[in-house]
Amino acid sequence: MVCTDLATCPTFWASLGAGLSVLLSAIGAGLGIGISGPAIAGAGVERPEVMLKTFIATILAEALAIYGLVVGLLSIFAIPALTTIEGGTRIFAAGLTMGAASLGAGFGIGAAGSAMASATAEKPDIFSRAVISLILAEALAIYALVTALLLVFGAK
Amino acid sequence: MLKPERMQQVSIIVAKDQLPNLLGYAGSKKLFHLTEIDDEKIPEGAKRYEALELQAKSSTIKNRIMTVTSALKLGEAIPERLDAPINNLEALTSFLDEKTGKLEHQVRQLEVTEGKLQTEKEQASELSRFIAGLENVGVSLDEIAGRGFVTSLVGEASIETIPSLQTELEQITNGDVIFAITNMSEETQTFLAIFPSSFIDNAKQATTALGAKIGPPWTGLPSDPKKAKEAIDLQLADLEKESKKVEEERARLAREFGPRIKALAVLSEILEARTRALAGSSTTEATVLFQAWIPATKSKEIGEEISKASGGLASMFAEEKTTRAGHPTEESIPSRDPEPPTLVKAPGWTRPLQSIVDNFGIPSYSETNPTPFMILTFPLIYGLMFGDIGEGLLFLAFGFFLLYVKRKKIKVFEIGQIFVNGAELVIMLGIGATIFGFVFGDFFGFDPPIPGYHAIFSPTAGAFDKIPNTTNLILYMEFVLFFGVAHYLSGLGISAYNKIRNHEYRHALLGPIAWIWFYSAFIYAAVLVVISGFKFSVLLANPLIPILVFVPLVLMGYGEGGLHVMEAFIGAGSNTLSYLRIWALNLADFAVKFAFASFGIGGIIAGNALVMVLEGLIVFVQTLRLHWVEWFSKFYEGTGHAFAPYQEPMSWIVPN
Repeated sequence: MVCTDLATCPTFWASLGAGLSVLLSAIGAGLGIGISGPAIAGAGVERPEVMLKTFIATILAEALAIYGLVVGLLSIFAIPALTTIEGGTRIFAAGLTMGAASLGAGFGIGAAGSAMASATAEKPDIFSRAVISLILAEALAIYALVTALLLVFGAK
Repeated sequence: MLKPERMQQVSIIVAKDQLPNLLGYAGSKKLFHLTEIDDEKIPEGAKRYEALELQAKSSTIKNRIMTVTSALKLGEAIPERLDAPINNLEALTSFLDEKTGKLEHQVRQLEVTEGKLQTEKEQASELSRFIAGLENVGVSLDEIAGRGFVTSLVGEASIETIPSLQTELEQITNGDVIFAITNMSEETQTFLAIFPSSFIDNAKQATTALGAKIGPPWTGLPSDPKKAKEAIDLQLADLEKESKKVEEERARLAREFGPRIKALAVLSEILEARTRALAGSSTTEATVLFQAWIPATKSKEIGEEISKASGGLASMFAEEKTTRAGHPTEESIPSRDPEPPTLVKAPGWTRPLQSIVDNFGIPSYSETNPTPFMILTFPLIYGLMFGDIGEGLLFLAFGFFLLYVKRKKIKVFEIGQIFVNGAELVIMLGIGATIFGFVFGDFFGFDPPIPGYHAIFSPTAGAFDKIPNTTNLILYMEFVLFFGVAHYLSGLGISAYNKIRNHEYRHALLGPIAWIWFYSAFIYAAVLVVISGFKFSVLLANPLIPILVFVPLVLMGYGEGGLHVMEAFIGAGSNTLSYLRIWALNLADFAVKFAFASFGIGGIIAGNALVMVLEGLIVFVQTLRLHWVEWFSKFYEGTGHAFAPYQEPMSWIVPN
């Protein structure tokens, strides 16, 4: 649809939301990988056999970018059918939710992941317990994903 | 497979001269998990076996043999048949000591020659570099020739004096010195100094004053530097030849003594295993007493075989039943006996799954092993996220290839080895992905090219149309949530079963059974709220609902404490929602393929490759996580210790 005023343009808000979702999630994933990566490399030097196990932190962080991509893609698919400003703002909110939550989760995964990697290198059998805080950090992004998807599906 | 093997604690008394026969039998059977005898269990008149000295010796010998092995760069070799006194540990120790000593002598000579050669090579190349440098800067060599302008000094000094030696020489020669370290060992370093010949006497004096040894100088060098360089290069070539000879000598030694060293290595392993076994035993003048865990089902057979193996001079007694293994109750005094070791009998193809469980924690003796359930749930959850006929079949093919590599025992690079070890798991995941590919009707992101075939249920049908139709997507979301509820409840069910099996009825009732009640009521209430369109007032319309939800919480709080209630309450919401990742990743999976499909055939290939490699890994981790976090937290502790049987190297046949 053709907009005359940006503030009331659904396409504008929805595109912004899609972009924010991917952008902020990518930053979150980058944070997660960037903070945990060096510790994982360190763990690999100290004890090569646990390195693959500790990779779970980067894989979980990478999943954040995928969540952001899912919300972003679904938003883009929804844009052509948008008719109201309400639909546009819903998608904007969805993108912002997903992206901002990924930032938080990414920071959490990074910090918890690096501690997990160092701890596992010192004492391998602590892994299964140390990984729990990592997984709780990742759950934050899942909550946002659920919220964001409900928002996107309701957008008209 | 579901339960660890029943264990029985036994004591074995053996006559001292039959000890090697008994240990040889135990080492080949691999059914004895030896434990250290408690102080109060040592019979009167007996004392702990003094094995400390023997243990120290055996590990020293093992290290020495390893050093020899690496010094000779020994590869594979068939052990030589050595007539070793295997039946007497002291004699075996001195036998190994002596044989290893002889080999060490040979190897040391080789190493000394090699060290000398290395030093000379370094010095020669240093000199050669120096002269080449003079040539390069254009100093006329002929001019200095014949006047004895340059001289060299080589020697050996301890690491600490090297720096002061260097400063000393610099002072003496007013800085006209080139000082190079040409070789270093643990304590000393050899050096080479090049400076004008007029300083030679002072330099020599200073060097010896500092305690350095001066080596024979480079004599016989022609006075013409050009020729000198040629001579040095010639010498370098000679040295190169010599080190080749040393290398040949090494190979010869390895060929000649390889089998013997291998045999000694095997013997030293036997020695180490036996001394370790003895370290936990107790002894009298003529007997030795061991304590071990053995599989209860085999105890009769083992008892007979032990007696046969040691000529009737050994016998096995079952220890009296302890309370710990059977049914620990809070009322009884906690037994000091450690938990029996865990031995899970399972078919070989479940090994990769079992190692996933073991990575979390080895099942304890009184715990249900979750692996048999995971044979079903692991591929199921993976398939729910990753269903695709084409990719599933590719996974399957890859899995069979890995299995082939595993069976043939082909060596692969490090990370590849992890995949090879998990070959069976890859096959299982491939089966899961293929089956759900048929259900979802997904073939590399398209409809399967099978005539007359229709997808049974496609979650993403219509979701990516111009005007999206998300009916199926929402339906799939609901299905996944209910699947999560079922998975969650199954975990609690196993927990209840574990407690009942261990006769902890009170804990079972106030723990998992109350939890199941609470969780079912919670889910019912949640469904009511969602159906009514998020009107929370429906919960108050029927006064039975709040009662149903809160009564089990009170019961749990009474039985297991407040923290447990918190965990159950928070977990009920967040753990259930966590299963939504199945749905989200299924969608993500399809979305990536869909997005890439618009770039033509190249995009389809790239998209599918990306999905298979990256998503395949992420989906695996998510499946793992759903098991480890959401499921295991309900029933699994994993605090056991593995059954580690006494064993000796199999390749050794004791010569009669």
